Amino acid sequence: MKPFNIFIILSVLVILVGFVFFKNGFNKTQSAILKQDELLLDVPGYLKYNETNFSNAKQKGKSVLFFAATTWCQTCAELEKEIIERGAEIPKDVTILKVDYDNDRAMKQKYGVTTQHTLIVLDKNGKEVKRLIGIYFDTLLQGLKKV
Amino acid sequence: MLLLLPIAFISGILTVFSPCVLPILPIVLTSGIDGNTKRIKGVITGLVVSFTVFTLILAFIVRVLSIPVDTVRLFAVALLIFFGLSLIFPVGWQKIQTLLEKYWGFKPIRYKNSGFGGGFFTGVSLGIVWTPCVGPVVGAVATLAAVNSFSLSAVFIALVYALGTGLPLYFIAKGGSKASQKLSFVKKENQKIRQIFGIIILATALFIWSGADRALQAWTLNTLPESWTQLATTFENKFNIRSELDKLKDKEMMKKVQPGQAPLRQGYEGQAIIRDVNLQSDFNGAKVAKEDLIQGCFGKDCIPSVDKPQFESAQEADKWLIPDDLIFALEYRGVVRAYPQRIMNWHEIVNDEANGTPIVVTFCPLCGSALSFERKVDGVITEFGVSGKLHNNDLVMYDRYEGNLWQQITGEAIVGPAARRGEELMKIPIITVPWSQWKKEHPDTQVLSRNTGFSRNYDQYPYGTYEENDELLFGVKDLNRSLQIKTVVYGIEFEGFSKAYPESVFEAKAPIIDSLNGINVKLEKQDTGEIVVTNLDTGRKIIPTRLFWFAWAAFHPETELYQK
Repeated sequence: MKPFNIFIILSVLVILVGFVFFKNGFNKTQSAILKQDELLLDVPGYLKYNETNFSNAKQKGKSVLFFAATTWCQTCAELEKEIIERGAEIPKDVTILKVDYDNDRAMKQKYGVTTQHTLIVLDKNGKEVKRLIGIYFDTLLQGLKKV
Repeated sequence: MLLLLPIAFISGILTVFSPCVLPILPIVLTSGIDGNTKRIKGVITGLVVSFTVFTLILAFIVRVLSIPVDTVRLFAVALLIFFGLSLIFPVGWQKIQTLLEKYWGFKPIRYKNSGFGGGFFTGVSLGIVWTPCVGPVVGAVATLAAVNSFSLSAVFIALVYALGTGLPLYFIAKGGSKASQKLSFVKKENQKIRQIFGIIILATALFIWSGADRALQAWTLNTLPESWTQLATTFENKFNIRSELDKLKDKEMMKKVQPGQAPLRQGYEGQAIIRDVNLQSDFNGAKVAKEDLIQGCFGKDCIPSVDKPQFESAQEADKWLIPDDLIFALEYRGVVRAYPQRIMNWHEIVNDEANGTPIVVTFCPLCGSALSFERKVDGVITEFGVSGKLHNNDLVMYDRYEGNLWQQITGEAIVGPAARRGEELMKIPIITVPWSQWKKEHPDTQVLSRNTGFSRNYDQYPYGTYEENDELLFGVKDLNRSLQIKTVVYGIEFEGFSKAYPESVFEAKAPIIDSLNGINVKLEKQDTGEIVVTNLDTGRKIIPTRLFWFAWAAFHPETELYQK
């Protein structure tokens, strides 16, 4: 066998091995990072999405589902920073629920979400009234006012 | 609008400096590694086209065809892997092509991996796999797409933005090509260089698939200064492009939304009917074991529910109903309605409304059980449909809000978030009586019309001799044979205590006084044929369920059986 062919086959093997390694490794670290994030969230109007938080949010009034991938989505991270810094400006009847864009497939499918940094405003019955993609805090506040 | 186009173009250019471009850089950089500028043009064109098209139609694919977004991406990854491999092993690829032509007599995609075409397909797949950055421009376009308000301006903005991204990428590729041409190895070994390009495509595909691209982006975000990574967004903010985009959005939405209608889901307050909802499949917190659900027919709505029921008068119905035909009848909120079993055999579920109250009438032919509920899930009005699954032969319904699975006989949510919330549908009294009897008592009744929107032979019973014979179509856990399995019984349940009364015990017409776990109850057959059950201690009514014995016993294993 020619040395170059050996080189080609070796590279393909290395790539495959690397893929298996990364595929297992990254899923774990990603969720670990997200879990740590949750502990830092002590803004009253900003919670992690789960069924309990969601049904409570509906009791209170409007809820905003924020499909965020905070580890790699730079714009999501920017919005999250704004939400945390300016948490006091979130209207009292609104709860922003952060949905894990990377791992929560059921939610993505249910709401037909195709991209990270998607925000869906729901009324107190859970009916979708507005969808906002790639926006920041001011636009979100405006959008909530219009609803 | 005119102002938006140049801004979209420039923000497209600036996006190239943000970390989200990193995953596609290796392929772009090496696309002209052998000095082939046609391939460079192909890759960039493919990228621009697929980026534009997919920003606009991905929402449509996911919502209407209900293909998960991850599946679409996975498909593109597979394409990339294929392109990569065909470049790495050109000889093998040639052989496969000849084989395909020989045995299937069709010419596979005339995919020449060296030219414009090959580059184009690589670019298209790359455009799908690559999760783009979402700045205000892409966000605005994607928002319009998500609510299905396509417009020419949205298409233009997406295209101009993609062209803006394509421009610097083209020069990056050109630069890569120029640099590699300086190496003497490259000039001599064209074939080998293409194999290296193939390896880079393969590596990128697997890299993106494994999610490592996201980790790389995360790492860059933390390492590079913000002024660098946020170049595009800073620019977009400076030009106040957002308010322009918002105007565009509002204009499009206004066109779409009629007064009094929600943008996405039509109807009145608190209603959500998602026709293409996915069935819940997470058995976490479920009330049944996965293996106990049997596929009765394939896919949800394999038996179609009636969603726009029409009604006719008793006189009209008399033309086709015979006196002994069973009907399921209710008197609720001022409406008097009959749902003939002959129709229900073929549809099992009717989503109806009683003077503004949303109700669902359900019938499971295999259990002989007709029940009616208020159709609300977690307080939201929705519809129900046939899931295609059976549990102990009983119909398993799904809701068109969250896709939970529901047990027809108990009205309980069995799989999905509603099961975890412990939801149970509110029962509405419904009785099963012969048509002649109901007609006599309620000459003003409305009857479900055969005009259901489906063509079925309502004169035919679809299950042969099922109602008389001793056979079941599917398995039942711990089948109880204390009675012939298809004996019709009335089951009552009270504070976790249950008892079944064979239909024959009511023939005497004398009321039955019985004790149910120490509570006195009276069961009495009315002239309408209805069995009225009263709790004598409180005077309250208990709604009995009429069904085959085996089905009652299957869902109430501790049930008592009334003996004369």
